[in-house]
Amino acid sequence: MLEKPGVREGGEVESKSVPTATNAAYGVVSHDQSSSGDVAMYEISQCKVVKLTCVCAMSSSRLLKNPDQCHSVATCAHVHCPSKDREVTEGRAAMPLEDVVALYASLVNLALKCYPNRLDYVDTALLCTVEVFTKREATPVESSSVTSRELIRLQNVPVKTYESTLDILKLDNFPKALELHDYQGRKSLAVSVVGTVVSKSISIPTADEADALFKLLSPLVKDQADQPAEPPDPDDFEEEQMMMACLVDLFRAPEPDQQYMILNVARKHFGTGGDKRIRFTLPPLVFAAYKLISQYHSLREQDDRWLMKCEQIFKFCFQTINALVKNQPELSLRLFLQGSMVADRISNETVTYEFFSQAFTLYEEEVTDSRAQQAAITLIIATLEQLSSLGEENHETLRSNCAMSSSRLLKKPDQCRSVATCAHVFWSGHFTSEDREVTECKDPKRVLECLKKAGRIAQQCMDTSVQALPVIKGLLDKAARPVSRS
Amino acid sequence: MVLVLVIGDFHIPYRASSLPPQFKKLLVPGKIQHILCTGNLCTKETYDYLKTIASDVHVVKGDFDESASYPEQKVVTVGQFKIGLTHGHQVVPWGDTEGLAMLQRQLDVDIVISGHTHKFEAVENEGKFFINPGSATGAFNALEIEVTPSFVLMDINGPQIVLYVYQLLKDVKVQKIEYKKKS
Repeated sequence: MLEKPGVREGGEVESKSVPTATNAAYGVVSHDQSSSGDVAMYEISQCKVVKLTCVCAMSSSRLLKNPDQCHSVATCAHVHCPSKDREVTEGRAAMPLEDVVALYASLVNLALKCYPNRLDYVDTALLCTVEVFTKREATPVESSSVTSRELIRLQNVPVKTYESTLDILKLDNFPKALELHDYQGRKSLAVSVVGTVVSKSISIPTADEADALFKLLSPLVKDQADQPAEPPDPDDFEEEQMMMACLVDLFRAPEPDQQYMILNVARKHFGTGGDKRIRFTLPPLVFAAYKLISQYHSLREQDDRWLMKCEQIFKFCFQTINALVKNQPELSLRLFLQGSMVADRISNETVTYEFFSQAFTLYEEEVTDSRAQQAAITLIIATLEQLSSLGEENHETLRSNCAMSSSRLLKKPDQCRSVATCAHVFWSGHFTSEDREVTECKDPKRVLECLKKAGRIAQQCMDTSVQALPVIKGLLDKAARPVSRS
Repeated sequence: MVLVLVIGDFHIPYRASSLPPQFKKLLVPGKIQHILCTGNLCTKETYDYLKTIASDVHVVKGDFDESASYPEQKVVTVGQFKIGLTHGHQVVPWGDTEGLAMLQRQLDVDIVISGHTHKFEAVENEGKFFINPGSATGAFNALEIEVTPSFVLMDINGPQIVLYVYQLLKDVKVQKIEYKKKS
């Protein structure tokens, strides 16, 4: 049941005087009287403490069934409170670092098993570890070394074990222990933390916790001073950034005002990530903001400042999407279109128009590929058909622009289809009249114009491509619909 | 008995971090023969996950899908049924019955599967069947106040289909709908 004294994985049996003390300690461990705990303390302080405690810790973590055993063994751990620890490890200055780390890892394991609620035990072990390394000037720990592996293993114990992973934010010395590593080590731990948080779907309820978490995840948030010059493996990088993006869905504040604070904190951190990161991390922030606006709208009876707050959030969204425009114009276009629908739902005509026209501008200036243009203009027309808060004049401007852009698409079949789709906006599109009534366009003249134009384009198609047939058929179907409805 | 999973609009990671655990538990590998996905995964990771559930996975392109390799539409034949699959953002107005009917005629299929609205629907129209599995993750939709996570499992048996609709309210609620192909 108990391991051979003083022997552990990769370790060596200590000198002759240990067995006696070890046996005594074993004797202690198997008793469950608290007095024997004091004996243990005495014995331990008299002999080769380091190895012994290692043994105690390791063997106890295997035989912990009896709470009193637990107590006496935990007393061993108490011996290793700061003052004793320093005596111990100073006295054993020659002890290899990886052994020291393994010792503390065993203690942390012990602490977590015996006293899962006592975060301070784990914190103390981390503090001692940091002090040993600092004293020996052994930082940064090279990620290829055994020491690094042991240290990462130690730090992963609370990460993987805590029910609520965010408890690691309460360990003041966790970030200090992180700083001991080199870039690879810090990144490895960051990946472990974010992976655990996302896979366990741990909610992040406050801005402070979000801030502390982002600081821990620094190697994933932004470029580090000590990171290698060569670019990382693209698949790994993408996977890591996807996990960071998933964090946004876990921001779950109890109050919308707090949620907004969290989004701001996230924006601040993600903003330091550079172009290659923000394409993953900013879009979820935008959607979280849109969701928040819907939330404020649904709670508008309870908050008379909701309109102002929503406008603030729209500004946040606008600036965030603008950061993506340069490298992701098509994605930004879609994000603006989504924003116009959100604004439309809360009947904010100004923002609806602003976001929609931004999408249109992006279409005209940044989308150059013909296939992408066809996809984009279809989305633009379809979105316009859904809006209802725009005034008559604004709506007229936008639907005319849609029709014009449709007729300028490169391929004839695309032109034909797109112009025909515009017919819908002239029929079932909505605007808000001056007397605040939502009115359907129902403009048969313009509908017919669109369809006739589409027909003319389709005839031009017929000469050059067979694929026009379904287009014509589609047109006829489309023509039948508004007519049958009116 | 052929089981077909109809699912889509995950929007991972842009609007959701993962499939609800209650759904993950139900989607056991090896039980389902085909997957018809309406799109908006949005990344390869979700596609890989679907591949672990069944090897025959069909995906169409949604408006937020990153991959350019998915087609805009697809027609798949399962048993006696010709099934048309599209994301649905191309059908204007979105979710319009007649628009979808037009697509059905164009593709000449018995069943049209589309998504985009994040709202489950199963409608019979002029002897043809129209299914929208909704959003598997309950992802945000600008036009819906509340989005219920949902997906559909089709059990195809000869000329008959039984639809099992899974929706996550407080727990997983299952609804059964039957449809028979008119010869």
